[in-house]
Amino acid sequence: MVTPDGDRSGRRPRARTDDRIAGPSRGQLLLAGAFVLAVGIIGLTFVLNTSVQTNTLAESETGIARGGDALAARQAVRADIGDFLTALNRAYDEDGGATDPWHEYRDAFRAGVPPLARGVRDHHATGGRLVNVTAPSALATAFEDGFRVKQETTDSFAKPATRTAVDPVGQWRVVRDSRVRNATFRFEREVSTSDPAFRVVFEESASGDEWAIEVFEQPTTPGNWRLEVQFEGSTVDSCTGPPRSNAVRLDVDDARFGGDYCPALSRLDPEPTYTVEFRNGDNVRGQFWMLVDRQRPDGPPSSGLPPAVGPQVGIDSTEYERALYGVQVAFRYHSSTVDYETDLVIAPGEI
Amino acid sequence: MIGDGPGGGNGSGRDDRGVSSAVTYSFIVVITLALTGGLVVGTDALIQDQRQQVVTDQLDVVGQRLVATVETADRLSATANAPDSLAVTREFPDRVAGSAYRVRVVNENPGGTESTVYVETVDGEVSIAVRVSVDSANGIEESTVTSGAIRVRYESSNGKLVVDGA
Repeated sequence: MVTPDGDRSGRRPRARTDDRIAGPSRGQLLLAGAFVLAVGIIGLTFVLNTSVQTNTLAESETGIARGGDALAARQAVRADIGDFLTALNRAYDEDGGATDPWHEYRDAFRAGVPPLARGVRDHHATGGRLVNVTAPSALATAFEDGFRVKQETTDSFAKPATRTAVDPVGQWRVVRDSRVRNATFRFEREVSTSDPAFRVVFEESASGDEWAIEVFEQPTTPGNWRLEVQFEGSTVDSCTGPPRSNAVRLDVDDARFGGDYCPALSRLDPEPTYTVEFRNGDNVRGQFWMLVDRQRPDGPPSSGLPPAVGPQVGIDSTEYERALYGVQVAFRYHSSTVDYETDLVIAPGEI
Repeated sequence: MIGDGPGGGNGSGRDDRGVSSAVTYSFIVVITLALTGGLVVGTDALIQDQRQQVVTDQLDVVGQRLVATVETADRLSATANAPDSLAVTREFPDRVAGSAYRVRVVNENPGGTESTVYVETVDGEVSIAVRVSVDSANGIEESTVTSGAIRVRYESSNGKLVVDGA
């Protein structure tokens, strides 16, 4: 009989002499090799595992965990409340004669915050976060009353009382010791390119330092509108606007001149409070709008409308209407990693 | 007698003439031990190097994440009114590659707004440093915390950020 491993007698074939020498050696080497391989694999596994853990550690960084989501939520609430404030200031008009002339604005704001807060709360609740916005009840801290000072008909920027005179006074103090937001100008044309250019000056109340925006037409043909931002009489930066044959719009807080971004305006940085003054206003014609805060720390005003014009009120203009300059809301954000509660003072477009 | 064993043989063509199985075995064992020992020592050194690198990498990640959290807390504190409450809690690993570690916050200048965050193993073998500067808060208080959950909070009494254990 022939077995698979043996000869006809069933015995295993005898190993050759070389095999008998190599057999035990091969076994020892295999054992040693296996041992080394095992140690190596264990070490490699350890290193790779910790390396993977490092990557996991680094990649587990999310905005929600770190708090970036709280910043985004706060920014979104600021934008929402700011938009609501802008819409509210457009929709409501002064009613005159009330003991609290701003009460309609305040009531409308109070009525509008809960639906807005509900939307914010629902939106963030889907991600497991609690975000809430509430309007404080205290009048003195919740609302900052203000006025919209404006010139809606195209006219000179000279002092109003002198415009009919032969030589109007080009220097006009529009706002005194206050803060301004949403300042917008529309310039139709410069009266004379050879006369000193029109300037909007922001004089800081505390230091007396002057920031200015100078707007003029380039005298060369075809000229463009030009804008310079100056500090203490020295030009900081400038930009060029559209052709002077067109009217040009200036949005100070948006840093836009003629609809385009003007980096020079980003460098305008007056420290509140400040006085806003037009100089050489008789050399340009156009319109302007700006929101000014009342700067009255002593609570709601007595009855009647301005001008109860005095230095503390800050308005030295002929056209104005009530508006809410700013509001304060309580903001709460809670997630698995972030606990944050603060009051947000919102006055969009503040210079 | 003519046999097949060591020392045997019938002619000069055999290459194992004069070699006993005991000597061969001893040589094999010694050589195997030497090779094995060398490989183990070499592998161990390699693994130690890799482990050290991993510890450094992980401490670096912990440091960067903690500093990012401090900067976020700084930005959250940037409101017109100081926050009523602000705390950001982060979960960090208790150990990195088997080593316990701690976090130290050291101010560059007393009363300044620049600080250095040291993340170091308890045995002091590995340490990394990450600098951080705050804009809104009045600085970061000096502190030492152990690994695990770490909280960055705003201290309203002095307007500083505090890094402490959660």
